[in-house]
Amino acid sequence: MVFSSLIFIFFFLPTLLFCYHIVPQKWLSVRNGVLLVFSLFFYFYGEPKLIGLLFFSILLNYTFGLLMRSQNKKTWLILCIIINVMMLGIYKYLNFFIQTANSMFGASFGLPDIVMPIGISFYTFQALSYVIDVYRGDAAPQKNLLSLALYVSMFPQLIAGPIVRYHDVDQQITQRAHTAAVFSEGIDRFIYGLSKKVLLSNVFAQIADSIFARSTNELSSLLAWFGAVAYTLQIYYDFSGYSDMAIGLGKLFGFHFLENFNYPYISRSVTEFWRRWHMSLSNWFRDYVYIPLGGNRCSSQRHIFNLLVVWGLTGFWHGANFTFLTWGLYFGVLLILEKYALTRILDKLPRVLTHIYALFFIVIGWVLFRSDSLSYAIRYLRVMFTFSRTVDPMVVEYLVRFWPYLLCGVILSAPLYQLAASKKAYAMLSYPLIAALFVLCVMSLLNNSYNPFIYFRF
Amino acid sequence: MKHFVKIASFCGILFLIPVLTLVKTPASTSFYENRTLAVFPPFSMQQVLDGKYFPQVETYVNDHLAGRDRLLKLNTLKEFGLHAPVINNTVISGDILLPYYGTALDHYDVEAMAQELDMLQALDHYCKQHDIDFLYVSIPEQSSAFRDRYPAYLNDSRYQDDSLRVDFMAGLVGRGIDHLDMAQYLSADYKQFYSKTDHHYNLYGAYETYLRVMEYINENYCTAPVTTDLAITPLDTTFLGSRNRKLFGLFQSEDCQYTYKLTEPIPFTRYDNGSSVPATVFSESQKNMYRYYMGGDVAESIIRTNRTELTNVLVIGDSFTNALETILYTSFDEMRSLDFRYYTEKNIYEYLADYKPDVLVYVRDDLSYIVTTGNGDLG
Repeated sequence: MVFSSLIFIFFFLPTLLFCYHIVPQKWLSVRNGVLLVFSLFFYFYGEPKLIGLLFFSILLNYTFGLLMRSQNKKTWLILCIIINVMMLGIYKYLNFFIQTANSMFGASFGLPDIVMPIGISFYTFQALSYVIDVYRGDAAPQKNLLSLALYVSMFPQLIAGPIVRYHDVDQQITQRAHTAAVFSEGIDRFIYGLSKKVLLSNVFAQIADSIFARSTNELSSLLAWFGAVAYTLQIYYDFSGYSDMAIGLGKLFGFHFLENFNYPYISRSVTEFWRRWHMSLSNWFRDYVYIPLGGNRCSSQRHIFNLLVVWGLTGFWHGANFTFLTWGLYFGVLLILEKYALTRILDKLPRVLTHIYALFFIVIGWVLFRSDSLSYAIRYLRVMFTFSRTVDPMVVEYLVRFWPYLLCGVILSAPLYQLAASKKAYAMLSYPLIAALFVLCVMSLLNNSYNPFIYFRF
Repeated sequence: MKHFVKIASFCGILFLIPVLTLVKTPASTSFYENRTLAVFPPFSMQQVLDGKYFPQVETYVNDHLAGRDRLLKLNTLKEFGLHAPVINNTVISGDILLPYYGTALDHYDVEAMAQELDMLQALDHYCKQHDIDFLYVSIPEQSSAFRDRYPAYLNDSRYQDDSLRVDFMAGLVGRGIDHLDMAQYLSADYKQFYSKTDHHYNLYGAYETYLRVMEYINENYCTAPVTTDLAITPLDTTFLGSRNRKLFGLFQSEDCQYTYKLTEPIPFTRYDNGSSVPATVFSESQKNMYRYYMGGDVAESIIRTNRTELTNVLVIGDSFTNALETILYTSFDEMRSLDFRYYTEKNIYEYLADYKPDVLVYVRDDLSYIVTTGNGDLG
C-alpha cells in the first residue's frame, strides 16, 4: 500500500486515526499497540509472505539489545551486526553476487529463488541504529518488545524511510504530546507531500520512463538530456514527497521525525547537495560508518579511503547493481575532489556558475542511477554528449503537454514555500490551498493509476 | 479555532468518503470511460498470501469511490483549463478529437495477420462451395481518416508506417478474396463522411458505404434494389461522440448526429436475439449517441421486409455495421446481422450452414484488420 493511494487515504488512514485517537491520551501504550497492529497490517498488505523476516529482525535486535547489558557487549554487537548484514546480504545481494561470479569466472552456480522483501534496507538500518546506539550508551536497551517493534515497523517510515535513528525517537515512543497544532501541521505536510508525488512526480515519471525505456540508438542528444532532467525532477518530487508524507503522518500520531530533504537542487557543490539530499541516510552512514572508520581526523590517504568506503556502501545500499555502486563511487570521487581541490576554485566562481556546476554533476549522476545497466548508462551518456542538432518531436510533445508541470517542478525545487510561509497573505491562503491540492490529488489519483514509488525497491 | 476547522474538515472528508463509498450501490459499468468496473473480490487466503488479493481490492476502491465521476469530470475540466493538447488519451486538434497513440510501434504482428488472412480465406472457400457471395468491406476508422489532423509532434498512427494496411490489402488480393476498400471513396471528403468527435463514420459515410456495397453486389453477385430516395437530416440533439464521452462531454463541438427518412417507407419486422422488438432501426432514446443506429451493438438482429423476390444478406462486424444496417435492410428480403463479440450460440460456419444467406458482408475497420478475437475470430 502506498501513501498516495485511495485505499490508504480513504480507508487505512481514517480507520487508524479513529482507532488510535479514540484511546485516551494517557493510555499511550495502548495507542502504541494500535499503531503497531496497523503498521504490521500495512506491511502484510504489501509483503504477506515475508512479514516473518520483519518479526525475526525485531526479535533478533531486541534480544541482542538486552544481551548488551552484559560484559561482552562488543561481541554481541559484532554478532548482531553480522546477522543483520547477512540477512540483507542474502535477501538483497546474494543473486547479484552469484550472477557476478558466474559472469566473471565462467561459473554456473544456480540462482536461489529469493525475493527481496519490501523495505528490508530501511528496517535493517533502523534495527542496526538501535543496537549501535545501545552499545554506545546513547540509548538504554528497550525492555518492552512492543516498543522496539513499533520503532522498527512504524508504517510512516517502514518501507522507504526516512531512516529514523533510535536515539532520535526512543523518548517519543513512551512520551509524546498530541496537540491540535502538531496534528494540523501533519495534515499540511502530508498533503504537500502527496501533491509533490501525485501532481508532479507522476507526470515526470511518464516522461522519464518512456525515454529511458528506449534503446539509446533511438535517442537524440536533446531527448536524452530531457529524459535525464525529467528523472532528476521525478526522483526529487517522488522521494521528498514520500518523506513529507511520512513526516506528516508521524505528526498525526505525535511523532517528530527529522527532515530528509532541504532543497537539494539549489546546492552550489556536490558536497552541499549531499547535506541536503536523503539526509537521514547520509547521517546514518556518517554516524555508524564514516566516524567509526576515523572520519576526517586521520591522514589524507585514510580519509580518502574512508570516503570511498562510505560512498561505495551508500551506492550499493540502493541496490544490487553495478550502476548503484558506480553512482556511489562517482559521488565519492567528486566529494574527494571538492574537498582537496575544487572548493577553493568554486568559492571564487559566481553563484550561477556553481549552481550550474552542481546541477550538471547531479544530473549525470541520476543517469547512472536510473539506467538498468552500466553499459546502458554509458551509451546514454554518450548520446547526451553527441550534441546533435535534431529536435526530437517527443521533446516538443512533452514540452507542449507538460509545460505547466515542468515549470512548477523547476520553480518549486527552490525554497519558495519557506519564503511564502513567512508572509501574512500565505497564512490566509494556506487553508484553501491545502484543500485545493487535496482535491487535485484525489482527482489525479482517480484518473491515473500509474503511481509507483522509486524508493520502494530499495 | 483555525486548527479545529482544518482538522475537522480533513477528518470529515476522510471519514465521509469511505462511508459514502460503502453505502452506495456499486455500478457495474462506467458510462464515460465505456468500460466494466471492478467487482469486489471474494476473500481467498491463498490470494492474500500470493499478494493478489489486496491489489484487486485497491482496484475496486479506485473504481467505486464516492464522487468518482464528478471528480474525474473536474480533472478533465482542469486539463481543458490548462489547454492540454492530450486529455484522457484524447488528442484535441482544433474541432476534431482523435485517439492518442503514444510511441509508434515499428512493426505489426505478422503471425496475427497471417492467421486472420487464413481464416478469411477458409471462410471465402466455404462460401464459394456453398453458393454464398462473400464480400470483405474495409472501413477507415475515424483516426485514420483524419490522420493529417494530428499535430506534427504526435504520432498519427499506432504504427510507424502504413505497411499493415498495405500488406493486409495485398493479402486479400493474393488470396482472391472479394473486397471493397472504402478508403478509396470516403477519402474524397472525410469531413463530410466522418464524425469529428466519435470514432465512427457518420450517416453520410454509412450511406456512401451502402451505395458502394450495393454497386459491388449488383455488378458481381446478384440484382438488388438500391435505395436512393431518402433525405438525410441532422438531429436536433447535442451529439455525444465516443471521444467526447471520454472527455465527459466537455468538448464544445458542432458535430451532430444524422438520421434519414425514406420517401417510400419499407415495412419490416425486427427480432433481436430471438425476440420480437419494435420495427425501427433508430433508437429514439439514444439520439445523442452513435447507439442511435440499430440501438447499439446487438448479438443477433434479424430484419424481415417480406419481399421474397429479393435476396438475403448476412452482415458480420463491430459497431461500424450499425449505421450501415439502418439502410442496408432496404435492399433485401431479409437482413441478419451478427456481432461475434456478443454472439456465442454458433460459430460462423454453423450459422452459415443453418441460414444459407445469398450474400455475406463482412465489415472491418482498418484498426481491427489483425484483431483475431471477437469478430476477428472466424473459427
